[in-house]
Amino acid sequence: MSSSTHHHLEGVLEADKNAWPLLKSERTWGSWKLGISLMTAAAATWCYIIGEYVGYYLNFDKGFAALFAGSMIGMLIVALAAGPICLRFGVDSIASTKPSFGSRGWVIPAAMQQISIIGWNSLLLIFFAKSTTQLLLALGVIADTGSKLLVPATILLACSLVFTILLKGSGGVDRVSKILVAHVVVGFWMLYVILSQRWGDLTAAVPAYASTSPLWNYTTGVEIGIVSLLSWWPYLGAMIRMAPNGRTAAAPIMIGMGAPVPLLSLIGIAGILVLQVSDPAEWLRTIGGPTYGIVALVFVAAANLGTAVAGVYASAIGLRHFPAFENMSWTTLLLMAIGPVVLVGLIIPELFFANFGTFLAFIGLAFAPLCGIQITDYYLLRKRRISIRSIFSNGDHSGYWFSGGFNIAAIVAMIAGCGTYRYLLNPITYESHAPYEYVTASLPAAIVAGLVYALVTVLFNKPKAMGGY
Amino acid sequence: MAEKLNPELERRLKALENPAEQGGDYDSTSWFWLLFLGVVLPVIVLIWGWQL
Repeated sequence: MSSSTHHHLEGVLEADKNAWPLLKSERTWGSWKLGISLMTAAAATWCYIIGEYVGYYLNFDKGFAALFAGSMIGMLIVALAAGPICLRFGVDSIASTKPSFGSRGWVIPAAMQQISIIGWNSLLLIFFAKSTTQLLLALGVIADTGSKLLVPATILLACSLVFTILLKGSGGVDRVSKILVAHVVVGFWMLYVILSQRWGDLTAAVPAYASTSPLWNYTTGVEIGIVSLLSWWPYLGAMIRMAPNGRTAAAPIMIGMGAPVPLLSLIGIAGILVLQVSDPAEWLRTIGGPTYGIVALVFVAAANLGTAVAGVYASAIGLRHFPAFENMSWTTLLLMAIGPVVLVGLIIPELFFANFGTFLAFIGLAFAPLCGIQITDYYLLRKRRISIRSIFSNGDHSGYWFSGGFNIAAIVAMIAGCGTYRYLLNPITYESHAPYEYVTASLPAAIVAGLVYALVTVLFNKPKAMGGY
Repeated sequence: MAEKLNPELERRLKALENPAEQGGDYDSTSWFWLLFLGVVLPVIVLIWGWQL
């Protein structure tokens, strides 16, 4: 190997484990490869829980329609917010926020990213551990007394696997995607099983917590779809930066990452409506006996592992932006990204699992305004002009320094967007105010944040020549 | 004073400051997919679902 080739490969490997921008020559993922990776990341057992929440308010048909529409709208918002900067410069989602949040203000989206990924990964691993315990109990492999140890042991095992796979950087995400994408097929088989065996029950089932207003139920289904997909924001950049351009990425984002969630969520909607449980490892055993239960568990394991790998990778790349972690070894960084997941899984699994709805609503509360700000900044205010050097310059000479490194417009807009969401839909009680039924909570939150951002930028930042506009 | 960046990062920034070395933004084909799958299709599905 020539020294220049060696130097080039070294650079690729370094960038792969770093938040540095990727060069054109390094961004080799085509549409299929990207689509499969995105599908593996998106299709996990959170789909069952998302489906479960929709099944509380809507029947099977309406639930699918509302969730599908909401999911695709949510995916579009994320693709327009983080997509362009990540695709043009080969950077992750956090780097894409620096033009709008500032050279230091990006810590706000970075904190949101970490909370979101830790939350989702904890949920997946707890789900996996619970399914494993249920199945082993049912098969008589363990006694009831042994199950208390099994949940933490399974979480630790899963985290160790994720860590090992990611030691080689994004190559680990790609490799695991190629194998684990098969679980999507198994997911549709599970859906076929419940539809073919319980169709009568399914069409007759009544949602448990449906409101007296059909429109409120329908809108809530759409809202759950939007917020679920908004939470893909932290994942998206780290994946699509491997693709060379927007044309390669647009369809895979929408079809690979957007569509599988509502489709696989049908399993959760059907499960909760017919059998009052969304975990297929539990209901497949009820329908088809232990063999089906084992197939479902393998599915759960494969699905969650693929997603956890993508999540921890995105989380680790996001951490790299913090100066303290800039030169940290990849191994230590991975441990830091996985550590919180292990802690949540070991210390408060039940508490976290029981409050999934609140977690989901907080995602919408936080990410909808963020997306509104990014879209307004890139398309309307900057007219697509971005300085890659300013993104990676951290001092007051950076074009994105604003005031002390923070963009006041983004902070005010975030507050306005979160306030709008909170007014329209209380994330804890799900109590809503008009016009929620007609407009959802996420869409107005994104629009209000975008408008406030534009207003403060035009009235405050531009006259002071702040932000490199 | 100019900020001292990691040489490898500096090399990458220098390369990416040339528009020809950047990745491509969404083009017309991308916008077709984004708007069809993210706006048109959801609207159709919403209307269909409401009538069920």
